[in-house]
Amino acid sequence: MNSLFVIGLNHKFAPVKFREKLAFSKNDLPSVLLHLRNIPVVPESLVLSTCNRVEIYGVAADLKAAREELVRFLCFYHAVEEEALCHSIYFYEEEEAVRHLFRVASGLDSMVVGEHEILGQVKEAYRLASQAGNVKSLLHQFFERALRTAKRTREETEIARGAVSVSSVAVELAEKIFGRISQERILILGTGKVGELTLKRLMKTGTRTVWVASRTMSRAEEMARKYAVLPIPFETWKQYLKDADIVISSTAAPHPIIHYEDVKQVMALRKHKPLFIIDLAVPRDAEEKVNTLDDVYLYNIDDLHTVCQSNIKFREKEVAKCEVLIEKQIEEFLRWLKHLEAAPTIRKLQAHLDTIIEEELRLAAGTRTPKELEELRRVLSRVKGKLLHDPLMKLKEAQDHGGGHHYHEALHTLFDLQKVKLTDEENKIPDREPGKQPGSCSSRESAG
Amino acid sequence: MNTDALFLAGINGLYLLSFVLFVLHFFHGGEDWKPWANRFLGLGFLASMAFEAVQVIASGSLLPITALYQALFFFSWCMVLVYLLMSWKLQLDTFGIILLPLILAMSGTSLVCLKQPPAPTYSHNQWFLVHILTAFLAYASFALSFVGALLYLVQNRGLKSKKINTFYHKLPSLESLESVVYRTMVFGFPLLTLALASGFFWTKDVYGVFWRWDPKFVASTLTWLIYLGILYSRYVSLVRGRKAVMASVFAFFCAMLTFLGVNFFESNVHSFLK
Repeated sequence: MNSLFVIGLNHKFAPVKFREKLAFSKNDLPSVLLHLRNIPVVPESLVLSTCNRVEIYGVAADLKAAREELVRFLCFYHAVEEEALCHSIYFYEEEEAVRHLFRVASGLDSMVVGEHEILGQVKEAYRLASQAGNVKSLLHQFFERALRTAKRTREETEIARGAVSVSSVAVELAEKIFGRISQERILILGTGKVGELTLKRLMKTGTRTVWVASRTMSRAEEMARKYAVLPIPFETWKQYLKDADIVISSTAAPHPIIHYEDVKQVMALRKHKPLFIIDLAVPRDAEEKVNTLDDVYLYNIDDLHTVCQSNIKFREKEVAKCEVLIEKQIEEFLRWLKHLEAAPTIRKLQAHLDTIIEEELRLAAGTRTPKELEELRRVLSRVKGKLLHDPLMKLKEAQDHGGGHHYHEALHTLFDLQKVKLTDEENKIPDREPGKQPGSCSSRESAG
Repeated sequence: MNTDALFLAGINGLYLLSFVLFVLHFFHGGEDWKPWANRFLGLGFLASMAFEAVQVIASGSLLPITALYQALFFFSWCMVLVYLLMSWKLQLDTFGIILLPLILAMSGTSLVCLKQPPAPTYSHNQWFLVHILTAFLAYASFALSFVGALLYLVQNRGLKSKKINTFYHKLPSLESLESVVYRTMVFGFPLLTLALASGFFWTKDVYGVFWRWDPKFVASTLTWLIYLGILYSRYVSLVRGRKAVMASVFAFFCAMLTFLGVNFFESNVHSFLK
């Protein structure tokens, strides 16, 4: 019987220097997947390579051999010493592998807990491996369930709530002040990197009116060209304060340039329409006193970092809730896997009885009309169903409690099931447990 | 305990349950609590309506609001009605944590004051009916506006002091809260105007004059002027933000003083207390 496993390394066990050595670039992935497909002991495989982790998920009957083959492959592909590799990698199998992927997809194993990029990366890895033909039914189910679990943790807990980078916190704060940002006007003072990143994020929300002022006009013009915004001479920026709603300041000025008195006057002119000042400069560009004015919200770089930290702490409180949810999902998936082991025996038994029924019907065919035969077939099918119901339920129960193999052996001996051959259609793995609704995360979603 | 008290206690129980669920939803997250909070509130609303209907049938009057408990109870019902109406259009998910205590304060007090004898009844013509209905609905809208204002002030304080807590995460944006404050006032103001006008006409019918120097007359006219001032200044963009929101809080206190407080000073046509 095939088992699931994962082999790899992440930010917890390997320094970035080693991780980047083992990372697979997106362009390399098709050839890597092809290599993996040619390893006979690993019939299904998938590669997840991000800046924080390099992992190969797979299915194998002989886990020891699979591990050896993959270690050899990684050493060969990246030209690293086996000893150095074995020092940093982990190899999880069965339940541990399931737990690992479910946690990874939900963002619990990430450097910043609850970050959402990983979900997209898992989807992409799954899509690529499916396209390459490396993913078959077992890994397919594994990843579908992992994606579904990740989606549920995000929906049912607050693990992904709150921004955790300076630029995204700035956008989140702007949204807490102005609601959905669309018409708000932005004034950029200075052309710092973080300021630019914040502008980029804000522009994604739909805002279009942006003025850029820099002491070096050419830099303002360059930024203006890049983002299709308006450059203005630096001396004139105060005139725009009346109309701007968000000010992002990151100049290299040694003293504050946004003064309390100026803002106070402007607020009267603005009729107290809120003004959000994001001061990213060190030394600071805005006087601290500015924040005491009604309807002015001044955040400097330290404040933004503090918000990041608070949000991270808030997310960490949600981890326990996620773990509970994930454990439930793991349990359900493992139960499905166990039933999968029983599936061939059940199908063989059903096929065996079907053959007997068909034989008896053939013998009876001579003396009966087609209508009578149809009726007879229905009666026999009902008898078959009722006869099998209790033994199969008992078998599934035993499977759940780890004693299934006795029943398998007994059934095989009693009915001589070795002789029964299944067709390809009958051999297929069912997509889900009988009676369960299809999942909401389809493979089509993984393209997104 | 008589049937009325039992009924009122049951309604209070439903509101209390709804409040607990709103609090759980707010502080512990999870979307499961919210629909149940709204369901219990809706159930309380329907039960209140049934209670009102029984009162109408028993008293034979269309507006059985003569005792304080009836006034408070009817007010609590109006608050739920306005909340349910407004939540169709506005984002009021988080309002339950403050609105429900207000509703409970009203309906809870009505349970406590149940024994109080009713005030003498006055002629109930159509002006009286319009007056009572519009006045209660106007005050209920202002109560919702007040809840929005309180939440605005909490969110504003958090953003100013840079304290990131559950309130920051759960409360809507300042813009959205300010809009609720404004729009509920816009809804309530014409109702208050109608209440005042119908009150004057009713006075004319009963006493032959439009105006009496009665504390309630003066207070409600002042309240009306305050709301007019706030809405006008907002309309011409004279002032926005925290000061405007603070003004609406002040206006609501005036409205409550008009609604209940004036009765403590003097008793006359408006008294529920004596």
